[in-house]
Amino acid sequence: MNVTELEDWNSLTPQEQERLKDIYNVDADGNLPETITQTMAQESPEKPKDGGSDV
Amino acid sequence: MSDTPLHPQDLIARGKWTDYRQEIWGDSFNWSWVRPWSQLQGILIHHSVTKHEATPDDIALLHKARGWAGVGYHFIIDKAGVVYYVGDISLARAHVANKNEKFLGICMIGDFTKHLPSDEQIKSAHDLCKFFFFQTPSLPTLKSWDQLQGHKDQQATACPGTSWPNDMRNRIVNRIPYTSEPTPVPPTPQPPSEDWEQKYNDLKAEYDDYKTRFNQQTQDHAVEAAVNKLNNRIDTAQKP
Repeated sequence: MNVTELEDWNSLTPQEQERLKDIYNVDADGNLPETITQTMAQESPEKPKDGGSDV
Repeated sequence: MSDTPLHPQDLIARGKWTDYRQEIWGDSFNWSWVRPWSQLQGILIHHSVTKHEATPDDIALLHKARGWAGVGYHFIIDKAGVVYYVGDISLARAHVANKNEKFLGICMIGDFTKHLPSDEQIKSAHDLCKFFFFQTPSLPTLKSWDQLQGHKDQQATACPGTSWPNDMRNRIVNRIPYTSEPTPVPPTPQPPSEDWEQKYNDLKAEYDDYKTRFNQQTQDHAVEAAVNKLNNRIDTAQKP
C-alpha cells in the first residue's frame, strides 16, 4: 500500500509525512511494508451492527 | 465524555506510567464508542511495526493519516517501558476489526518480526496486564492470564511478531526479561578488626612490670651478695 492511498494522507504536514515514512520504514516508492499493511487490514473502528456481545 | 482515571501502582512506582490522553493527537475521550464493561473479555497485545525508537505521537501519525479520530490503542509501551495511556478504556477504540469492544489494546512499539521487545517493555506489559487482571475489581470480566492474547490469536496477522506466543507471551505472563539480572553478590565477611594499640599497651605494661620486678630482684641479689661479703670480712677480721 502506498502512503498516498491513506485516506487522510494530505492532512499531515510535510514534516509529519516525512516522519511517518521514516518511522514506518516506507520504501523509496512510498510503499508501506507488507507487515504493516496486513496489520492495518485487521484494525478498523467500525462498530458491530449488533453493538457487540457480552462475554 | 469518557474519563476513566487509572493508577497502576507497580508502574507508577517504577516511573513507567503516564496518562497521555490529553497530550496525544486525536480524541481520547469520545472515540470510537462506549461499550459496557461486561463486553470486555481480554487484553490484546500488538506491535507497532515501526522502528523501536518511535514514540506514541509517531503511532498517532498513521492513525491520523488513516482518517481516524484518535489513536486506535488504549495503551502504547515505548522501548524504555513507559506505558502511555492514550485511549480511554471505556471506549472500544480501533485495534482489532469487528471485535474492538471485546479487548483492551496494548501496542508495544517496535517490529517484532525483526527484533525482540526490550526488557523494560516485557516488564511493563506484565505490570499493566497484572493491574487489569488482578487489581481492578471494577472490571470483573478481566480475571486471568488466560485472557491475554496476541492480535494474531484473533485475526490473520503477524502481529505482535514472530516470538508470539511461543516465547513473548510466557515472558510477559511471568515477567521474564530477555537479559537475566545479575544475582547480587553478598559482601565478603571481614574478620573482626584487632585493637592493635590496646594490645601494644597491654604488652608494654606487662614488660614494664617484669622489668621492675627483675630490676628489684637484681638489686636484692646484689645487696645480699654485698652483705654476705661484708660478713665474711668481718668474720675473718675477728679470728685470732
